[in-house]
Amino acid sequence: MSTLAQADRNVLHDVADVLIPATKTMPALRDADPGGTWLDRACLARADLVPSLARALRALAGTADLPAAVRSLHGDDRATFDVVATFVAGTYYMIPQVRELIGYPGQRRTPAAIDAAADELSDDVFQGALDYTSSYRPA
Amino acid sequence: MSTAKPSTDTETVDVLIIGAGPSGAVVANEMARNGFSVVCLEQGRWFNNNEFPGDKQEWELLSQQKWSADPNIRRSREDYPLAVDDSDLHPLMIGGVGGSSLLYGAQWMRLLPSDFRMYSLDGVGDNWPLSYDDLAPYYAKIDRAIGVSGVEGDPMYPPGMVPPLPPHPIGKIGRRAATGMNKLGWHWWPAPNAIASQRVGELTRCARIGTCETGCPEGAKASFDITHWPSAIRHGAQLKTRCRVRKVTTDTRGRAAGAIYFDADGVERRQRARVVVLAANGIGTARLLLLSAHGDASDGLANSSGLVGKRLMLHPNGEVTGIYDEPLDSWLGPAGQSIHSLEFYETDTSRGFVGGAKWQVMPTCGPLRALSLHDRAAFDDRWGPAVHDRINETLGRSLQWGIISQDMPEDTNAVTLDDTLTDSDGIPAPRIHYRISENTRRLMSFNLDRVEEAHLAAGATKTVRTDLWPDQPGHLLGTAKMGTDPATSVVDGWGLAHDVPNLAIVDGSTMPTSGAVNPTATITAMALRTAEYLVANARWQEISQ
Repeated sequence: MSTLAQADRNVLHDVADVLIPATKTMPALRDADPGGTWLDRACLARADLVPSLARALRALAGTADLPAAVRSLHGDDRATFDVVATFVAGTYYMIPQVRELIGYPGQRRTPAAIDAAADELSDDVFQGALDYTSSYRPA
Repeated sequence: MSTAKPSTDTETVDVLIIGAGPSGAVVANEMARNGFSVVCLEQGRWFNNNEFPGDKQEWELLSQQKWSADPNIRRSREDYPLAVDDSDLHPLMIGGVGGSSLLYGAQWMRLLPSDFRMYSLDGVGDNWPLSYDDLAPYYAKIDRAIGVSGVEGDPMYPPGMVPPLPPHPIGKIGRRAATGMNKLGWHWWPAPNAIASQRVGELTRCARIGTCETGCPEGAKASFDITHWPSAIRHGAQLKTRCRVRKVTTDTRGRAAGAIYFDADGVERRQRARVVVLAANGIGTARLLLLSAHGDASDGLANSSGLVGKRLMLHPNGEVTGIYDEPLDSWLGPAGQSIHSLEFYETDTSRGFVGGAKWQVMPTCGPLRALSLHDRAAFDDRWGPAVHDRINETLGRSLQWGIISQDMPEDTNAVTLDDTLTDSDGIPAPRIHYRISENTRRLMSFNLDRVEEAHLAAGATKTVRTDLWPDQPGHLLGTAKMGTDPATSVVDGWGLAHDVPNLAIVDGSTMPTSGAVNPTATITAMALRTAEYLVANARWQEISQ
């Protein structure tokens, strides 16, 4: 199983409002991923956890005070909380719009300038390494 | 040995290698290019760079399970499981062509001269039957073969260690950490990496994706599926994947005669060979030797010393991540290591322990890792509105000083065969018995205290300490000790089993002591040394009948 039912998705969005609430500058998960594309990718990436996630979300569904329930889960059943948090945070911080807002370019090709290392070897920081006076133990 | 062309699996080949990881690749290439017929049996498969998750948006999630380095988490049929309920650490490895170099950090360190003489210098551990100077030429050959990037002149090594490629930039994380080390007057050096800073051989130039430990999508990291297997195959070596050995066979004189293995379809087959080379590393090789017990070797093949499986050393790791009030581009690779320090590597008994540690600076990468630094915080400091503050404070603004601690050889830390757990072919899985010693705990505590000082000297606003990483690293050493006395060692100074003179062991299991540096440079240098010895002495080499 690597997908979530719509009802479970709705609960996950509600939990996300507790864990990573919208601010003036940051969107809510439900707004940043309206089609659920990124949640689907998270579910594929952690397909092993989706059954546990679904169980956790169904246990939270219909809770009168969801923020209190999520907080209790954090204190009383950290393993289950971590499953839910993995999907909430894992999805949220995968979304390109969110990454742009937090200034994270992702793990991407960024080859170094060809002279970057050489420049580093000719400044005061590296001089500190050159000034080191101790040595290896001969054996 | 003959120099016949490679033969089919029903015929006898000159050399059978078990395991296609770094040391198996080195031996295969050396033997094949010198005209010997070579077959290698590898339980895993080929991986393609495009499979690796590092350049994918969901990299952090994929690295948690599908691309975890822990076979018990990955649960692939090509890996064997490990029984670890009697172990303080969960050893890491992956089956496949290139072996664990597929997922290693490629931190390319040599042992220090003192590591080869620990008993003489410190009165503990053992001396090796060879010295740093003996191994240095092989280190240099391997460095050139794989394209090590670095800077000549590290004062903690003898002269003559010349990385063939220029260094990578140490980046903002390295420079910030180095500033602290300079204030303290402590050793640091731009770190050597088996990651190409320029295009060389089959390797492309590093693009600093920063995900080396889940496989390099760029093909810039020197994993041995790239650096050695193409050449070995061009020279005629046969590499048979998804073939899992269950036993090394022997002839009537007790010489190694080949192996029985299961092929990809689960069919049991036999491969005959004149010489057998074990390259399955510190857990897999011990497992195979124990599985290969027979009438005259009821405690395991090559085990008259009783040491097969014992003296397991795993290099317990700890780390301290520092959070800084400035952008450090903490997602940039290589990862890899930026700078390293050997300030507290050598034994100083006034510290209350023997041995030492190697330190290295690594990037901390993505947002999930950044948030994990606050896992111990109260709910309201970690989640809710606070989560945005934590991301702003941490993401891209942290660096990690990790430590590799020296492990002492102890008979009680061992690999045995589990009574019930098996791999996907029904072969008994290894059981790991491993407890961290009091000496190692003191060593780690001392070094992590110093690491915190290094962070503070560098200007960290906060530090987050992990006293022990239970799932790091994949350094699997010591279970088939090298030595000159057959009563106290498994293999001789060339890696040939005392009991079985046509059985060579070329992986980390032969290391008499662990040192405290990443071991693949040493393992592959030792493997090359054994292979050159086999080539040079083929005329006199005992073989199976």
